Amino acid sequence: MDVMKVKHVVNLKAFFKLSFVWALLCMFSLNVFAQEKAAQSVAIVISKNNNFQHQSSKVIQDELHDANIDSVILYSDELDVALESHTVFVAIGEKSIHRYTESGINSPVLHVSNNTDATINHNAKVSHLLISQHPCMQLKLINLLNSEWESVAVLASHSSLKQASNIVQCAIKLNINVLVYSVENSVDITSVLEKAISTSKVILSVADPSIYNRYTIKNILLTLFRSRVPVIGFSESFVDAGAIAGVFTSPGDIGKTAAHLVIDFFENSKQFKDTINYPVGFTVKTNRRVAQSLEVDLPDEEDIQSELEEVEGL
Amino acid sequence: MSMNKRTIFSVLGLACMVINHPVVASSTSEDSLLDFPVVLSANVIAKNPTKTPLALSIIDKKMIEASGARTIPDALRLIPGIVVGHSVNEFGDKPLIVVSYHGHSDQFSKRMNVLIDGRSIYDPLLGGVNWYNIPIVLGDIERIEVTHGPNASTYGSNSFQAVINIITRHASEDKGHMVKAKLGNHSIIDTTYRYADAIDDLDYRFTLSTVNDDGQDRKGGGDAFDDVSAGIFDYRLDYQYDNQNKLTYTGSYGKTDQNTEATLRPDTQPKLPQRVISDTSAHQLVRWDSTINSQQSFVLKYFYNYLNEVDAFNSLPIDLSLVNAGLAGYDDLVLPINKSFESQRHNIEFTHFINTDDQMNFTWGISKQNDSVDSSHYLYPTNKISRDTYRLFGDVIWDINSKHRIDLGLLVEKTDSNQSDVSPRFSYFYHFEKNHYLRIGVSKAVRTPFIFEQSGQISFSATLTDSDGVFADLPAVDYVYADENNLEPEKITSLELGYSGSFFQDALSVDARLFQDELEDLIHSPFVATTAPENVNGLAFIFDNLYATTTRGVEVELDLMLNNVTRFIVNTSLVDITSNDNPVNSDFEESAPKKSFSILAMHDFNDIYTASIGFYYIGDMSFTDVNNTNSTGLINTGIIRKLDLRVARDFRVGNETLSAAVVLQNLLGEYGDYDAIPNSPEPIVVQNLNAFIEVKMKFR
Repeated sequence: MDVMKVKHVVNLKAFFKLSFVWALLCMFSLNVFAQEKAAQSVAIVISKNNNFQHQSSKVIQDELHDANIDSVILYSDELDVALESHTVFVAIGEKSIHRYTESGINSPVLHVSNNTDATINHNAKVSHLLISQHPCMQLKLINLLNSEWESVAVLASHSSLKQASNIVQCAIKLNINVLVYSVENSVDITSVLEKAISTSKVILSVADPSIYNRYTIKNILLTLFRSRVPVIGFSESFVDAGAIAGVFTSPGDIGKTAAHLVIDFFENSKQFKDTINYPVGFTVKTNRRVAQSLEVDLPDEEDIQSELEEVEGL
Repeated sequence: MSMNKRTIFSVLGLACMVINHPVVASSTSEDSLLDFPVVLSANVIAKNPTKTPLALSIIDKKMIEASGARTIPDALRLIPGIVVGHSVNEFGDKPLIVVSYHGHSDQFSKRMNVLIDGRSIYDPLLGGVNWYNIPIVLGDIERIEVTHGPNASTYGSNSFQAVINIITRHASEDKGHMVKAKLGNHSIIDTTYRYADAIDDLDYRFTLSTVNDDGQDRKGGGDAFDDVSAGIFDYRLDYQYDNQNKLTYTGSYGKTDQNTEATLRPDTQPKLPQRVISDTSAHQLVRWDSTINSQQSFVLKYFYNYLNEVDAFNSLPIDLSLVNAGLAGYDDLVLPINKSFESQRHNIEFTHFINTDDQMNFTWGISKQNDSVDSSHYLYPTNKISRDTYRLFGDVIWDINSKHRIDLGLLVEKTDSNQSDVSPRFSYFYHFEKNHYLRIGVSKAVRTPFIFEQSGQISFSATLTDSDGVFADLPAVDYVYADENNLEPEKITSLELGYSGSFFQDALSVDARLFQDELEDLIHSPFVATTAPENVNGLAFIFDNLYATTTRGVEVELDLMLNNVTRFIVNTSLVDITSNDNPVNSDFEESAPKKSFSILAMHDFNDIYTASIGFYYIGDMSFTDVNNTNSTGLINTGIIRKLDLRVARDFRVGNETLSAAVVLQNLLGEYGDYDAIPNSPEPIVVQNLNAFIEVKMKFR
């Protein structure tokens, strides 16, 4: 009986030793795992009332979840919590990046916006994901819609000079005549637009809120419609408002592209590969009522989409 | 242009922009880029000028400015088939600007519909429009659309010979302050102040304006007593409730004082003195545009028009012995006359637009309109009449394929004084080549008699005295406009063959039409015998459906743009009116010029100077209420040749714009365009040189 007791005691001790080691090992692993998890935590910052940003952020979160990366969605007006535990930020829109900057956070940030000049902490590692499609895509769309649209006008302000420059470079490659008209202030828009109308068959819009916003868009579209000149829009909302067509990035495409950039960031030793990124994937939409009224025969949206997908090397 | 040159110009252009570009302040954040309201909804894009069911002429803002027009009728001269006259007549009626399309018009121009932003403004009592009293300034007009022919299913009641639709600018356009002044001969002093701005999604504009001039001169010299002094206040608010819903609210208040000449009629008729007639007008309009989805939208609209005219005076003394020999012993009679009246119109309308697919578009709607008039002078003895009109209308556009389109329209209208009337319309389009269309159309419409035509009655009575102070209980003078309870609506059937096309990459656009209009049951009021005991001389004006005519002709419009700096607008019209009555009624046959022509040339000198010159030729004609009593018949206006010139310069003052213009009208000499002295071919008043300068400043 005594031998049995001793054997039992010896076994228990071994058990406890093993358990203790095992626990230590578990704790260590968990800790490592936790740290790794913390090292792969993403904060997605959006504006509360923006539908586009909501949709994009949801797609980002789903994609990151599939890649086992934690993420949390934060609203720009609630960005006052200590956030050092997040490895990287995705700030969608101007409001988000401004609030991020004001918060003094120094983490790397993927800024989803067309405005690459937005104020950003100079110590932060920054990468931009543009929302608009590459200008060559928009010019190619113009070619596909109507080959007789040989002269294209672009209205640009100081803040959209880069976009206008990119358009001109693409126009040279595609042999399209593009005239850029300078808009000095919002009061000038109508008179500049009337000059553009007199020389061009179609207007290509750039995503410049000082020119195209919900307050100026009525005047712009009514003036163009009365002059029977179509405009190519840069967003689905613009096409619904009255642009004849547009190629743009859907919230889903933005979300997927942003998520993949973040995944690449982690795989690349927490470095963004490129400073400027374009979205992968695009959507074509046409406004047939407007086209019919302007007597423009538009190809089917599916045909335009597939032809644009064949564009290479631009 | 070769690619190298294109490259160079593109790069240079961009370089210039970079070098010269000032700092631009963003007005809103990028976050709003993806959130735009629907602007070009189904009802906005419903009208395609090249595919309207009837010929449509457009006078745009630039044409209005270049023409040097001071009034809307001045600008309407650019439309083929339209004639403008200035009535200072022998009846002592209020001087009016008369706009007539294809003749058949007296001073009231009652055979066309005039609308401002879809609100009809014709007067329910007498018909027609007092163009001096329209509460809108030319600078707030975006364009004027003139439909040639009847289009009741689209524009509603009274869209008979033509429709003039004046469209004002959206309140979001022309932000900031604008001050304008015009000074010239004929005591021309016009001033305008406008301010427009926005608060979030609310755009607003208000305008204050005064108009003053001394009217026309008498033939032979001297100023006619037809001065005009008017002041108006009007406003427009456009509120974008959300991306699908928009509200528009407009209102106005205007007061016009017009001097009126004395009667020049024979002594056997009541004579009216010189006097001042005051008109007060106001309106309210509320409109809700809603986009249901990408295929449907609707418009719900309510408007209220108010017009009050004050015209009370004593007649000039009447020698009763000339009226009736039996009254020779009585003293000359002075009649107290009060021609004042008040009219009101309420209208509510719902229109639904449906695009089922690329091939079919439907529009349908209902409306109710109430017109009421209060006048002890024109509506004796009831003094007040109210009339309801109900309308049901619809339109179907079927694009059979890219070459063929059919457009069907229908209006069913009922007033509480009439049976129902149906006005159908059919048009077929053949798109035989890119930018070229043929159009064949037939349309019918009716013109419901105005309240005065239907129910008007004018009666004068007075107590007679003689040298002994003896009173007689006989009515002294009684002109009765007897109502005819079986007065039928006038009818028009219009046939049209039209062509519309553009050439040289849209530099030249051409619109031409052949037409034939059959007008029946035309209402006229001859001075005829009556046995009514109230009439001391046994004569009265009586409205009746008396006449029928056929109008045939051709109209052509050309619009040529050269190098984006020079533009020519040329219009010509050949019209022949044939009376279908026996004996022939020459009143209508000579009521439109057989030939008319206009050309407006505009040139832009380096964005600094602009110049325009307009020439108008109007063949002889005479309005239907112009009479003379000699044996030769009607007196014509004679051939009118008119030349106008405008030169303007723009100045840049900092960020603001200042412009100055000199306008000279009627450079080819004086002419009379409406009336004549009885028994003489000479006009009472003449249009002669108008010269004025205009200064305009816009600032924020």
